[in-house]
Amino acid sequence: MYKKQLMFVMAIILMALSLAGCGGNDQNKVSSPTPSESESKSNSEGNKTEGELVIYGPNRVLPPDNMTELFLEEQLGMKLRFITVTAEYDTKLNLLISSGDIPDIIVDVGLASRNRNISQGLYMDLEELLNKYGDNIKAARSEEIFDQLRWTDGKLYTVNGVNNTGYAMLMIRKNWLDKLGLDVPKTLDEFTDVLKAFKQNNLNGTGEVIPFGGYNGLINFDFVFAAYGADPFHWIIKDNKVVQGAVQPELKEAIKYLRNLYKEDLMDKEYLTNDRTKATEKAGTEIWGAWVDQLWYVNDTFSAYHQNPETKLINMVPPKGPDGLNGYLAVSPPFGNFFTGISATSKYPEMAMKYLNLIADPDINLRIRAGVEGEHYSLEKGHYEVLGDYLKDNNLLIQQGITATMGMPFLPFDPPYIMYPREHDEDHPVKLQYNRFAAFYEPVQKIVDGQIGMGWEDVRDEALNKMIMEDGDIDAEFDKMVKTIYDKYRMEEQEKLANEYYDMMYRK
Amino acid sequence: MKMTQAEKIFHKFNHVFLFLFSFLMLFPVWHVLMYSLSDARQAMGVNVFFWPQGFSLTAYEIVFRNPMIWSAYGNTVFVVVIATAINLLLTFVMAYALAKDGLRGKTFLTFFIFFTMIFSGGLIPSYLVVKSLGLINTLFALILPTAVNAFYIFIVRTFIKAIPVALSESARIDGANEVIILFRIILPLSIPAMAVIGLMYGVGHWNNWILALYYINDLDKMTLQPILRQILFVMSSVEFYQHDPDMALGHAQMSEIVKMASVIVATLPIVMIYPFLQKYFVKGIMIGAVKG
Amino acid sequence: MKTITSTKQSRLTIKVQSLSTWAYLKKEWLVYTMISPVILYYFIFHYIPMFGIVVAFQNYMPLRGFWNSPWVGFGNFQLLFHSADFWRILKNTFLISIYRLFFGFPAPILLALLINEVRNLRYKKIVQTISYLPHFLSWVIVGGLITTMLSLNGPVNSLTSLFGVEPTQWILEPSLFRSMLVGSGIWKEIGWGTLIYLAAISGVDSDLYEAAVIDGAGRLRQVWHVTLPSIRGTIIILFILSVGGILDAGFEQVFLLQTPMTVGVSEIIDTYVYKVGLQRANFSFASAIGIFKSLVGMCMIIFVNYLAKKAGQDSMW
Repeated sequence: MYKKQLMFVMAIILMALSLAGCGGNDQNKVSSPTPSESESKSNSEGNKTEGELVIYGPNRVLPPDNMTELFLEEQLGMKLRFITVTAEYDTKLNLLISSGDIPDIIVDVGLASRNRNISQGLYMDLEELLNKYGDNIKAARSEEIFDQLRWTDGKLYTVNGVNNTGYAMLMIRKNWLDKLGLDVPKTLDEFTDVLKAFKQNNLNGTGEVIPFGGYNGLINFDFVFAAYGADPFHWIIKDNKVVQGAVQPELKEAIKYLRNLYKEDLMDKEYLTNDRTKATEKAGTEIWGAWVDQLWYVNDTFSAYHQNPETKLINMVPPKGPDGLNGYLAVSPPFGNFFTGISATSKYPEMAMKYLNLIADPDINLRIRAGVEGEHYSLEKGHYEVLGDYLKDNNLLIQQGITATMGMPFLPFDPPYIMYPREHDEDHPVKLQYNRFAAFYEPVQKIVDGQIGMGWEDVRDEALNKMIMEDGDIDAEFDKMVKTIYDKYRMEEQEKLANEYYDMMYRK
Repeated sequence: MKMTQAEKIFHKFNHVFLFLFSFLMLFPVWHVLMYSLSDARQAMGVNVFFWPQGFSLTAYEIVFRNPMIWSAYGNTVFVVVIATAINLLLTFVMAYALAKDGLRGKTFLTFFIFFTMIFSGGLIPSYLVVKSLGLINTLFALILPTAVNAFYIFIVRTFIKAIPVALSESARIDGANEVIILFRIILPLSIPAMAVIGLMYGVGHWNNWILALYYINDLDKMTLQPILRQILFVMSSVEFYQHDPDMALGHAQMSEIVKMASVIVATLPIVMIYPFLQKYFVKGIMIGAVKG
Repeated sequence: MKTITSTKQSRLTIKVQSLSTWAYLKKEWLVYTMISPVILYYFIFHYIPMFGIVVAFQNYMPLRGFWNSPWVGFGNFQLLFHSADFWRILKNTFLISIYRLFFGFPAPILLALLINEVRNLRYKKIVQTISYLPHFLSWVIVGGLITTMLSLNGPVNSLTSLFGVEPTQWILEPSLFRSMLVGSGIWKEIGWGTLIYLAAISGVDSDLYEAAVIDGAGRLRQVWHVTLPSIRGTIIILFILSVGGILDAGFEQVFLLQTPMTVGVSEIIDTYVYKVGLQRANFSFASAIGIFKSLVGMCMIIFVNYLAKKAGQDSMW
């Protein structure tokens, strides 16, 4: 009898052990090739720092031992390991941190993540390392940018990935303008007239012209808002105070202009449901006459837009509003949206800084982004041209994919590989409205969300879109929206918090 | 068997209804397939519904040219086969125990399992457990944490409960022990349930990309779904790179087609399994025959 | 014969109950041994990680870990309950879920019964295979397709314009949005849902049909008196379990289909948490909401289970 009880207990223990043991063994089995691989590599190459530098960054495709990774390892003299995901970026980073596998170099996407990571003590102060090994980085960034990146304690925990440039591009069909004998419109009224002319003349031959395109909602009408000095998406500075842009009265005029385009059928009525794919289609099939594109799409869409060889697109100067304002809204802070830090626990802080400095070298940055000149790309015709077909050449595709992570921390200002003429470069510099103040949007929102007023953006979006698409009285509806935002979502308290934050961070 | 007039009309109606219904169901899948076979330029701005616009296999070339795709297929098949086998065994055994009459502690065990369906400690502690078992970055991290699913235990339990008790009782009187009853008597009668549950487990493992994203770091251990998502990412998801104008792929219109092709590549193999399992539950098992 | 079995059974039960714990374990040790890996699995992979629930009461910071992150008590819960939109969001979530249960739950049962009535085995198999295909398309793909179908020059508008209806952006209509969610949800998952019922139907004892035929029952009466009662256990268990997900109203689908014009009727707990919490990587907030959803789900299940038990039906425990 006891024997059988003993057997029962033994059986359970055995089961437990087999389950646990199975886990342990399998791990050895599966992961064993990795150390031996790395050993053999370091033996053959020599002159290398032992260990590996772990880099966490957002990325596309990253096959092991691709040419760019090997190039960088050779330049740095150390093995690199990239951990990358295509989704759940913050979650995966949090998992790595929670379990103690903290990467040496971490790229934060968004100011909110960066601020959280700094405040939990993830990063080390970079000042000293930067002075020792960071010549290229310092050359690429102004002191003003570094100042803005400093944390409340005055220390510099991250460097930024990219300086903000105007990314919006208002595209218009120059060949249509030429056909109609019209000039590039300079003001919003002229812009409306051009759109009317586009509508009346069957310019694409199908009779189905939507003169002004839109997608992804209001954000791509930002030049209209800017022309009226309005910014519904950000905290802005007005009379030396931080205020919420969405409740400022100048917004009403911009909405009236958009409503007019909508009612007169000059604008794509599906601007809320059009996504990027639909936008490419509608621009590519010549349904749209003018639309706002983004710098990061334009090379991607170049061949799609130019299926008709007569097509001539230009990146026009945003038209002026009644007060002579023009430009785009800065969608992100002046120092961009990517931040790179070195973890405080890193075993190789010097190598990490050397790596960052390496990729900040303009030549090396171009090399990892675009490959070898003459082999992968050419600049001979005055603009950037890919040699070979990405869709046919695997190496080129990988080349494109890999650059995202590796080059991310340092993007050269005004890269040479934009395919469109920038008509406005000399005579008409494009102003970014409220450029500097957009910086406060995300952190302020984060702080405010932590306490009050979550979800007011939905009210704003619904109200503004209704004002454009429906027939209500804009002034009355706007006042109603402002009242809701103030009463229900406690905007007054939000503004107070925003001002406190601004004083703490930026008013020196 | 004779049918009444009303029944005949019903059957006619039923056939026609199911035909229209099937059309409605097939349509989107067909659309995806046709789109994936289209020529990128010709498909632009056209609603591809019934046949491809032009014909091109470029999208499939792009997907299959990825150096990781075959190892990803291999890893996925490994995970699906091993994990589903473990799933079926554990689910069956547990469901049997919970269906067994008068087993002591049954209510406790039911609640013990049920509770985990509703409450979970969240991702981070699970990750820490998987890590402390040394499973991170191994394929077993995709197998062991999903070794059995409470939902399916309860479903199989109801199936086993429906089997007449007399069958196992008489076997027990003949001196059969639980193992024999379980595998000789209950299992053959549970084949339809096990086929369906196996299919559901298998599809679940096949489609699970999020676990691989969390637990696997090395690309050569990645499963199919995350790899396909990465290919798509190269082609389309530009929003993430708002500040990276370096997107000289020059073929924006290609991305939709590659998206469709990768859907086909990702689902075709697993969809093909179903017709093979169908025979186990389209036609009923003859309980009478077993009883006899 | 029936009586003999039942007396035998009751005698056996009496005998079982009278055994002491050790003696009982000794008798049934094989069963307990067989299920021990399952219990161990649940202990390791589900109960050990349960300590993570503390995150809901903290402002969790990964670097500081579970014990050193600052505690906030019920602050994360209050953040949801005190938010201006809480009642609207809760209402939307419940409404969408209840519509889904009411229309979506019976749909696969009905389809399974219809498919089961098909005599031609090949036709039956083909219908079944086709109907489960949409399950494999992600909501990203399906959502894109729905948007195309409902666009201004899409097929739906061409159809309605035949009846003189002005082209409309249907997807922006708040009054139709929930119906569209539920409809497309049923469309996508109905075939997948039939699988279990078809398996259950195939397990029905064929003797019962024969007996029904002898009693003179036609096909439809057989369905009502034999098929449905035989799969009742499965239906009830599935219903109880799906009631537990009352606050899961389908994140991905809603998120992909909603627009600023329809947010008012479609904002559910999950999309809200995603927008205000996860997008800004607030783990603790998301975790607190998860616990809230679990508690509600638990209560619903216990309640429905109680009802089922009371009605003398199969139940969870």
